[in-house]
Amino acid sequence: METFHFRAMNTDILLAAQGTPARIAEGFEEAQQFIQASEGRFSRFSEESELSGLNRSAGRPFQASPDLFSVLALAQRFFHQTRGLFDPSILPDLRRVGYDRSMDLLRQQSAVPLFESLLAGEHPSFSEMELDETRGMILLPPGMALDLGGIAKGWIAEQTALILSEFSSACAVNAGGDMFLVGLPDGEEQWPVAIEDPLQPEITLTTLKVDPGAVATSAVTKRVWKQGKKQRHHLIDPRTGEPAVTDWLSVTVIAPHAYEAEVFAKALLIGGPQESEEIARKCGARFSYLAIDHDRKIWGPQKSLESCSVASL
Amino acid sequence: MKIIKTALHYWFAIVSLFSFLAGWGMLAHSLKPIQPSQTTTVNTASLPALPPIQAFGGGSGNGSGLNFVAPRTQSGFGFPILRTGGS
Repeated sequence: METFHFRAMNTDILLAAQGTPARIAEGFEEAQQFIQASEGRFSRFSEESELSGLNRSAGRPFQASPDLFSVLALAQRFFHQTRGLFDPSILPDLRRVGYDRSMDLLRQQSAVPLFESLLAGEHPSFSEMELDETRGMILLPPGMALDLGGIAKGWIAEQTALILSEFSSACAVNAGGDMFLVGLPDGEEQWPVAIEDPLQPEITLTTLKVDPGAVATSAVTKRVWKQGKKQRHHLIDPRTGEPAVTDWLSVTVIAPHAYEAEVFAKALLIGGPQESEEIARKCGARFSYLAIDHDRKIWGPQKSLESCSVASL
Repeated sequence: MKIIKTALHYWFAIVSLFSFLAGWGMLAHSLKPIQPSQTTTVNTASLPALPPIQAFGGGSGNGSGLNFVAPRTQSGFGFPILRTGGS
């Protein structure tokens, strides 16, 4: 199996594909181009991105590309399924807590300043976004600004894997832990996926074997920074407008689609045990999950975990 | 006037000399920096004992019947083990 590493979307990308080297190389090139183009479309850190254009047009209709429209239609559905725990409209809160530049740039700062004058959660509800499917138009209410960080990476990983699958018999795209798997490597019945220790990523807590589909992890220990004397992370709890205080350090979701794995990983992490059962019920239990708590204990619902088997290495 | 200037010269020379000696004495009796060889400690990552999986369900703790394998980082497959841990 051929592999190709590069950096995009402020994270490490791994492409792995099985097939003839010449075809795989062609596939890697096309896949990389798609990821870079998608980053340019969905990044909130680029003024030229389509997402930034949409945010600037709040209050008036915006003609969206099919890709942006698709992602926002999915986001709207998941907003309701997660009872608002997945909410792309928390961008003002993200900026207020200091995440106003890319994580690569943020990590270069020792601390960012406090914005005490701004209030948490002071923005329109995401439910007020209007989508006109027939014309591909999006209307954000005045004052709304979106961050697609909780869904776009998974969506891009899945689309990229589908592109790469045109060039290979089995392939995987791993975008910083959000991955989509197509087919199976020769001689394998499932894909092995290592779950990292949230506090020591170099350590593997366990390795799962999963069927083709998607795996994504959300953690409160990865994208962290200091704002004044406060320790911050990137998972905003929409109920408070502040970085979520969670029972778990990370949640890994196995699901048919990478975007839903990413969304539910985030929602379950924010919601914790109190909300998990209700979220699973609302989405028809389309996913399995593992949660790791502060003592590194692994939690998961008995029923959904039955679909995961553990690698026999 | 010349006497005053000469006195000032002597005064500055004496004060400088005593300040230098005082500083030397303070440094000589202060704590020594720790040698690099004393500070270099190797923090080897110790693998935690694998915790039992616990079924979610209001803390009822029903076992899921899943077994976890010992952590390992090297792939025994013909491809790299995919890793996930958030980004």
